[in-house]
Amino acid sequence: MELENLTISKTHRGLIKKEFSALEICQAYLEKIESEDKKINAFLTITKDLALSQAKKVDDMISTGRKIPLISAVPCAIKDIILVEDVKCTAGSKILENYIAPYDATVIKKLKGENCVILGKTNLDEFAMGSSTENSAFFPTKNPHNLARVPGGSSGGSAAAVAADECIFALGSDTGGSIRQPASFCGMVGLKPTYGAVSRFGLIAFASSLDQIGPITKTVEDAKIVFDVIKGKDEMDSTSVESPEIKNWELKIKNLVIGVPKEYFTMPTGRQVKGIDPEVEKVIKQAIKKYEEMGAKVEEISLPHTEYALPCYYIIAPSEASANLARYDGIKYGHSETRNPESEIRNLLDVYLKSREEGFGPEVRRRIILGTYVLSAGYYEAYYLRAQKVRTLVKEDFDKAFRNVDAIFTPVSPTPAFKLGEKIDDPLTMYLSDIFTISVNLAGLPALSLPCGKVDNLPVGLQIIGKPFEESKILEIGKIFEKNL
Amino acid sequence: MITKKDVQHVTKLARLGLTQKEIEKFQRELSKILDYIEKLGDEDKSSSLPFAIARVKEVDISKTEPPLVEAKVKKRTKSSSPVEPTSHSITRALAKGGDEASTSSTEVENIMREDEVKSQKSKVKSQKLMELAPETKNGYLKTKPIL
Repeated sequence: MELENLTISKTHRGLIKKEFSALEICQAYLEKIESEDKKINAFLTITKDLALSQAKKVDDMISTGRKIPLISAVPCAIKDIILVEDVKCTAGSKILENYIAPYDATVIKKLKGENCVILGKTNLDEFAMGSSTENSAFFPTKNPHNLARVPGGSSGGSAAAVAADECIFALGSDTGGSIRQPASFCGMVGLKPTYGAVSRFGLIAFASSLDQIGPITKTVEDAKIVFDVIKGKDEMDSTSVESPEIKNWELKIKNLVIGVPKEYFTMPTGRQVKGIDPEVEKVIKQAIKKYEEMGAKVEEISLPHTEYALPCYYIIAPSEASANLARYDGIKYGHSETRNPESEIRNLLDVYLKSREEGFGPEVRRRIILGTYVLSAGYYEAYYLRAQKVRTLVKEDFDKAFRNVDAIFTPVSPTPAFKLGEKIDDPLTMYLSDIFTISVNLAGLPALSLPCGKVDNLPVGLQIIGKPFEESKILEIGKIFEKNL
Repeated sequence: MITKKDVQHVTKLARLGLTQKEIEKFQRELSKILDYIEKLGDEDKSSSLPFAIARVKEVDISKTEPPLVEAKVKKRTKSSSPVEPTSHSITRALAKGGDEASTSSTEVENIMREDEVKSQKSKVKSQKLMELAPETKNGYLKTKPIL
C-alpha cells in the first residue's frame, strides 16, 4: 500500500470505494512503524490492540452499509502528554514512566467517537518543555528529512511521525510554538488553535494560560478536518468555548490584506544569537510575494512589543509550570521514593524532595526553579506581575494590527532544523529558537505553520496568524498557497 | 545575579532535591537566563530602566519596588494609563460576539458548577485513580509522617 500521499479524504474515499479495508490500512501503518521507526524514534508507545480493534469496528460499519465520518479508520498518533485511557502516558518524563492514564482526554474521546485509529503515543520534550525533543527522558527523535537534525519540539515525535509517513496525522500541544516549530522543521502543516477553542481536559498541564492542543498534518485540508473534530466547548475545561461561526465570509484573494511585522525581520534575537537566517528570510519573503502576485495586498505593520515577548514568556510559563508540576509529589501517582525498598526516607518532606529529584529531568527542574524564584516573596511584582502587564501590551499590539489586516505573516522559526546536540547545553539559545511563535500564545491567537520552501533541503515554515476564533480563515489562506505551489 | 543561597532557598520552596553540583550548575544557568530577561531593556537607549519589562512606559511602577528594580526606575509618565495584567487572553465576550468584540481581559466570567458525584461510573473512576497511588489505606492516600 502506498502510504506516502495518503491524506484523510483520500483514505476516506479508498474505504468507501472498498479499495482497501480499515484493517489493511491500520496494519500497513503498524508495519511501517515497526520497520522504520528505529531510525526516527518518533514513538514511545505503540497501541496495536487498540488500533486494530478500532479499525475492525469501522470495517464492520462499512460492511453493514453504515455511513462513516471522514476521520473514521484514519491512523493517527498522539503526543504522549494527552491521556488515552488504559495506555501509558509519560509526558516524556521519568516521573510518569509507569503512569497508566485512568481516563480519555476530551480530544481522544472525540476522535474515538468517530472511530479514528490511534496507533500510538509520540515522543516529546519532558512535559513539553523544549524546542528539539532532546529533553525527552527516553531518547531523542530524529528529523526524517535529515537524521542528524532535530525534528523540533516539543511535539517533535508527532511531527516526525507524520513526516515519516508513520501516521496520517498527529495531535500535538503548543505552549510557545510546540506544534508550529516542529511542523515547520519537518515540513508539515501545524495548527495552534485559539486559546479555548479546544478542550485541554486530559492534556497534562504545562502552562495553563498558554497550552492548546492542535493537529499536525500533511495538508491544510487535513488540519481543518481534525480541528473540526476536536474543537468545541467542554464542561470539563471551563476555559473552553464554542467557536463562533464566521458568517458570510468567503476568501477573495483580491480583498485579502496581509500584515508583515517589520520587527520579525529586523530584531536581533539576542546578543550572541543572530536574527533571522537570511536564507530563511528569502524563502519567507518569496512566499509573501506569491500572495501579492495572486492579488493580495501586503502591508508592513509594527508589533512594537515583540522583543519583550520572549522574556515575558520565560517568566509566565515557568511560573505556571512550577505551580502545575507541584502535583508530582510522590504520593498520588507517578514515581515515588516510597516504592523504593532501599530508600532512606524518614518523613513526608523526604518523599517530596527525593521523588521529585529522581523524577524530573534538567530542563524541568530549571523551569520549576525559575518559576518558583520569580513567584517568590519580594520578586513577584518585579517579574510575574510585570510580565502579565507586558502580556497585555503584546496582545494589544495584535488587536491594533488586526484592525487593518486580515492575517499576519511571519516566519515560524529563525532557522531551519538545527543539529542534534547543537543547542542542548545552552538553555538560553534553545529558548531563543521560539522567538517568532511565543507572542501568539501570549495573545491566545490561532496560527498556522505552513511549509513554504526549503533551505539546504530542510523545510521552512510560514506562520499565518489570525484573529481569535478565525481558524477557518487562516486555513483558507493557507490552502491557496498549497494549491498554487 | 542569583546566588547559590537563592537557588538553595528556591529549591526548598519548590520541594526539589538537588545535589551540591547541581545547585552550582543551576546558579550559572539561571543567572544567564535572568540576565537575558533583565538586560534586554538596556539595549534600548531611549530608556534607562534596568528590566526589559519595566521599560514599557505604561507599566504601573508606582507601587513599592521589589529589591531587584529599585535603582534606575523612572517614574511613570503622567499621561499614560496603567496597563492591566492579562492572565486569560481570550474573553467570553469575544466568543459570544464574533470578530468585532473587544478582547480586553476584564470581561472574563467565572464558570461555576456544583461539586458533586455525578454517577455510579465516577466511583469506578475514583477507584482507578486510587490504584495509581503508591500507598493507600481504607480508601485514603497514605503518606509518611510529617515530622
